[in-house]
Amino acid sequence: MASTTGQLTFAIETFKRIHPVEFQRRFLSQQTRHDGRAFDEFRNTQVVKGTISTAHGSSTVRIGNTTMVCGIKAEVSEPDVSRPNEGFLTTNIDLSPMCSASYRPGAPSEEAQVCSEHLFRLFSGCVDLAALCIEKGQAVWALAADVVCLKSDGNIMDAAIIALLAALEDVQLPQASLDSVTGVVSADKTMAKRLQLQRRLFPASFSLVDDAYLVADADDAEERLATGSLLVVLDGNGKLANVWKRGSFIGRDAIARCVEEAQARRNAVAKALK
Amino acid sequence: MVAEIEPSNIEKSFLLESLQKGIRVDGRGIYDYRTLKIICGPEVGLVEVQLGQTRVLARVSCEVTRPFPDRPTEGIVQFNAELSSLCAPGFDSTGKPSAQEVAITRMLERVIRQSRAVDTEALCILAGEKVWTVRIDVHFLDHGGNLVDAASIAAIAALRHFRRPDVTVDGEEAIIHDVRERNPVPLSIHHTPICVSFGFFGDGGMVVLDPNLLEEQTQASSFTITLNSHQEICAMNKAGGIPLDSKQIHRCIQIALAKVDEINEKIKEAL
Amino acid sequence: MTRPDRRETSQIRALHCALGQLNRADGSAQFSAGNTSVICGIYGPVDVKLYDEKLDRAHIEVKFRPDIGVPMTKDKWNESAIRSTFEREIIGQMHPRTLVQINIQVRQNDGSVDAAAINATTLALVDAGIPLRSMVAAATCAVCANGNIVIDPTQEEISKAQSTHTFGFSNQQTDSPAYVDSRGDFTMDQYNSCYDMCATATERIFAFMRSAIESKVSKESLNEA
Repeated sequence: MASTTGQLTFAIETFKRIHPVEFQRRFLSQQTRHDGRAFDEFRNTQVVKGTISTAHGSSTVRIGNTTMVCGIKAEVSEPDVSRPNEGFLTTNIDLSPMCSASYRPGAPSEEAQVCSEHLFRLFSGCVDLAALCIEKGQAVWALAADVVCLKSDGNIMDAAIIALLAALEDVQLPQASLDSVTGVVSADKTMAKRLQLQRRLFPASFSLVDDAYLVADADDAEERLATGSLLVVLDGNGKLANVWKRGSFIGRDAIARCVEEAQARRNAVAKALK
Repeated sequence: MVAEIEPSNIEKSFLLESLQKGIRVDGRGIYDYRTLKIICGPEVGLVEVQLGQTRVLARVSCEVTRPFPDRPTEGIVQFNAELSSLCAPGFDSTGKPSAQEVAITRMLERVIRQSRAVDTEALCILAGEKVWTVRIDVHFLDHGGNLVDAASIAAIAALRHFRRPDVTVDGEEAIIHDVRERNPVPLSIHHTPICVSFGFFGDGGMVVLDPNLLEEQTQASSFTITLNSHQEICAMNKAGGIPLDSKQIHRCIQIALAKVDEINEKIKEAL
Repeated sequence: MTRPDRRETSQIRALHCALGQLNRADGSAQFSAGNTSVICGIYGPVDVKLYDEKLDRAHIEVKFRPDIGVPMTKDKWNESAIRSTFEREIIGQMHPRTLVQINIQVRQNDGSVDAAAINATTLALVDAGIPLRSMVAAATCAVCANGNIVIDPTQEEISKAQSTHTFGFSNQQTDSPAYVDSRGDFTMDQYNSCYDMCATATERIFAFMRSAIESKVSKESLNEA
């Protein structure tokens, strides 16, 4: 593709590498994207539940090339003194160098910490913590949700939320009882009960690329050029659970349009979850 | 990396020459404390101390927790002081703390926690079940020298300013009363240890009370005495530096005794 | 239903600020709304770690410290929120290969602390003389259980709220928010009402910031004369 006719000629791969901004602009200015999607088009999303047999609940989610695995481990623990009949939910996301060259090994990056904190804030209202109580003040279930990114190709937030939702819906807690004499909790695996969620969450992410084009579900190449991001999370009834905008300005009307697009996306995700 | 800039040789030698004539660079007498301002509130247990250009904020809070298994009838006192990058460039809370940071936080921990200023047995609600954990967070806002003294004053004032919710025990149940329902109660405090720091210069012959930042960076040795209002010594710290005459130490103790009384008066006034 | 502190639903708490109180920092501001109080100190432009050095602009670092306890993941979340808001406001191209460090210390958290932190940061950046494209002010709204929308909620109101909404606005762009964080259980209508209420509140905060800066500058010029 020539940058100016008659002067320089590059192979398309070369052009993409040496001038990624210009490369993306050529597509975006024509109202299309480098992978052929429309601005409001999300990538194909696949959800498989119960992919890890050793976890109490698990799922694998793919959005395009982004792959996320979530495993939930339930352990018996002592409740907090101030909340004696509530269990715990902890979230953690692992963005290791395995999934993208831009992550470094070692302590969790700021991005990973922000992502796990955001997951926690979203889902702490979805799980009925009182339902995790085994014996008031003595024993409760502590659910530890670990989300591991296997391949990162943009939009990890959506993938993580869907993976966590699917894994939580997959959780089967064994019937547990506390022996008041010995103080030992015994679990009966044959009497497993499914965890009931109070709310289902459906995410939709949008990125402002090159400060001008608002695209849905950006992939890695587009995210690198993004100057702003918007996350809309809806619940099962179509009510809003979260609007989170960071970075560059996104117009008020544009945000409202994104919320509408998120409604359509909600149906697609709900279908993938079945 | 933002780095702390050492004072220049000229500044140092000017300071030393003036001191030989008994003059301090900021115009104080050698045994003068800087202006001490203690601001309490609006929340209980929130105290800001301004000592000259040094500013320290202390925040006391509490929550109900389980006691340690080996001390079922004692409450817990947690102390946290970190030199943040706010108070001076060069402090980094993410990396390994510097020797100076460790020295300051260790000193404060010794003064506030290990001198057993707070009566931990009075913090017990139900033996082996529920106790109060009192948390003291010290935030350094501005580093103008002598952080230890300012922090100890702030922490002690905050402990005395703090009120915890009242509790009544009814058999096996403990009822924690909302602060609007019943007046919150003050902590039971054994004594109020307060630090007084000195800086020594040259071969130890020159001494100043309450060194400011420039003096702290120039001093050859420092010496901190911790005293309570009963004129008892709770801790002393002279870590390294030049050797000092024991008579010097005696004189410092006498000065510190007088200063601690003044500081205690100030705290009482502020409360 | 009246609010616990008897404010009107659209009434923000009394604002207070103090600029340049810290001696060591290059610029500082303390911003309080009622009992919520945040102090912000800026160092910059200063030396940057080789790892963070950017050839064409300044590196922006945010440190957020809570009033109680040591910094945790929730504070990292705040750091990221504030950095993403100010990264485009600070004209970093004027100081390439440097660091602008924003240090935020919460003095007391009685609700709406995210907004207070953004407001304190703006004032501190102005006080430090860091070149800015525009000023950002933020406000928080809460939708109560009975559907009432209240501005600048206290911690007590937030703990009982259905949803909370924090909006940040630049004084140059009125139709696009600089920062949005709405969470809870809400409808688009409630979101829009909160948006309008916060937009009105930030106008008041901008006026307050302006008068605070003006009075400080005029005091300084008097001292020089």
